[in-house]
Amino acid sequence: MASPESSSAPARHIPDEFVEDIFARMPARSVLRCRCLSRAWAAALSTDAFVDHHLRLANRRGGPKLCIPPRSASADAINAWSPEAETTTAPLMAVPHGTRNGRIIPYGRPYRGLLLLRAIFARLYFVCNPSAGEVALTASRPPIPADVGVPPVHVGGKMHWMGEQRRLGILVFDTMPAPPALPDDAGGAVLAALAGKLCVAHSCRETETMSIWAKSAGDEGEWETLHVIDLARWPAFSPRAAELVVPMAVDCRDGRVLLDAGKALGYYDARSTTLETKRVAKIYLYRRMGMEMRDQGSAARSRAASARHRRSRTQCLAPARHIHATGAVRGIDRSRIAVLRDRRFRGMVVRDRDGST
Amino acid sequence: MATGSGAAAAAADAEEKESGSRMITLTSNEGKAFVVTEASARQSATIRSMVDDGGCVDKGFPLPNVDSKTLARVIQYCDEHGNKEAHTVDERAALAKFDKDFIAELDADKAFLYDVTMAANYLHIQGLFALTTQCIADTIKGKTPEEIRTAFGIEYDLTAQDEEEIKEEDTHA
Repeated sequence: MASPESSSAPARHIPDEFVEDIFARMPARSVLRCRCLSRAWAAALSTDAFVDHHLRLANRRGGPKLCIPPRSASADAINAWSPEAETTTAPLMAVPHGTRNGRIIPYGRPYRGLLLLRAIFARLYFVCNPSAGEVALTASRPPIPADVGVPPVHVGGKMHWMGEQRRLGILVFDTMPAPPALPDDAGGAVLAALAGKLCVAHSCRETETMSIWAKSAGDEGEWETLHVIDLARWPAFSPRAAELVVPMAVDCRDGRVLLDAGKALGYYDARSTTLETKRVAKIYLYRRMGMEMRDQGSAARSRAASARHRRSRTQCLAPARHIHATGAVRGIDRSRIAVLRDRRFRGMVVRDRDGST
Repeated sequence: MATGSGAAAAAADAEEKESGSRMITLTSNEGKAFVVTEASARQSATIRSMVDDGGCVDKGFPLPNVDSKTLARVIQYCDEHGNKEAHTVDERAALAKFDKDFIAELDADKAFLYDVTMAANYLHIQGLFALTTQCIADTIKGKTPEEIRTAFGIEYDLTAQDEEEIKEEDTHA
């Protein structure tokens, strides 16, 4: 034995270098509690890198989960769907109070586990964290959607879009090269975030294949081919039959890819090149509105969520800065809401620099 | 699995003549040699890249940061995951059961668990590192901040006001 005393010493500490790896595997609420352990930890457990790490590991035990936002006033809950559950969905949290009198729609794309909901008639905006069952009324109208009717201009390597609300500002985006192999044809090309990486998926109608490229590391990385999937073998997923096939998530346990073809979902396994079809009632109603979300792994979750919801009613809803991305780890500000809002673009737009004024 | 280094080299030579599965020698910081299949060794990304770069397969790989006891346990994991298939549901279930028993045994000796975690990190054995860090996370997630502070051996340096602010933020929503 190299260190016989190591086994007997009771006071042996957990090595510092694993702090983040360990906390990335803990429930969001425990992470929150542990932020008051020391200054260094409060800082370490609040960084963007940690939040992303935590989110990537979120569904390591049960495979991917998709959040299904409400689509109408009659919907009373935000639901979760997972490939294992197939046709059943589990309620995550109640629809925010004050939205029942009219249509409620998701506003923009989900971002870091957060979802922005808009109650049209009530003219209210809510930031929801379905994973934690938390909801907050945004203090003000979310800042500027871009006016897509007006051509953007490209200056100094960045795209500039006029905001719909002009006095609120102009949106500035970086651009990056698309994968070199991406054909310039009419086939559907979509962006996806798989296992924390930016991906482009292209469906070719002629060859009935889907190619998925992933950006290897950060903005400067190279594009690499992740999968080339021969979809001709599964008619429901063929680009000729389905309008658009979108990779939704990667199962971090075995690398299977969850494909959404609108009316069917399938689990693609690259090692055995098989596709396991998952049918979901009325999935077409909310297709592509799903977002990958955290699993809190607790049966008590929905109960806790409704309790929190009741509390949020009586407390007139907490201000938006207290909602936490990934179930816990940080507050939210106007610029973050801007990011939520702007993720609706399908272009090669990767991040905003000036979302709010 | 553990043999003397002379026998190890001989065994490795013999195996290398066989096409397909080469044997690789890993040496602990006490100089003890462990002969494993290449498939087993490839569980470690560190060793995998060294093998692929055409590194010192014949000479073996000295691991100055890992002691014999830890290395033996790490190899036990690598053998199971490297040498067995995981294509069918049954095979996956068998591996999952192995992992469960493996980690339950490790969990009984925290200091050794930390040693194995450090070795898994050093050798970049993703599955093992995930298994051990998850185990540590599960142990401490129900503990009070004071207990966690003790477990990690950290100094309390927040003022009462700092703590109040952080708690205040946490209870909202």
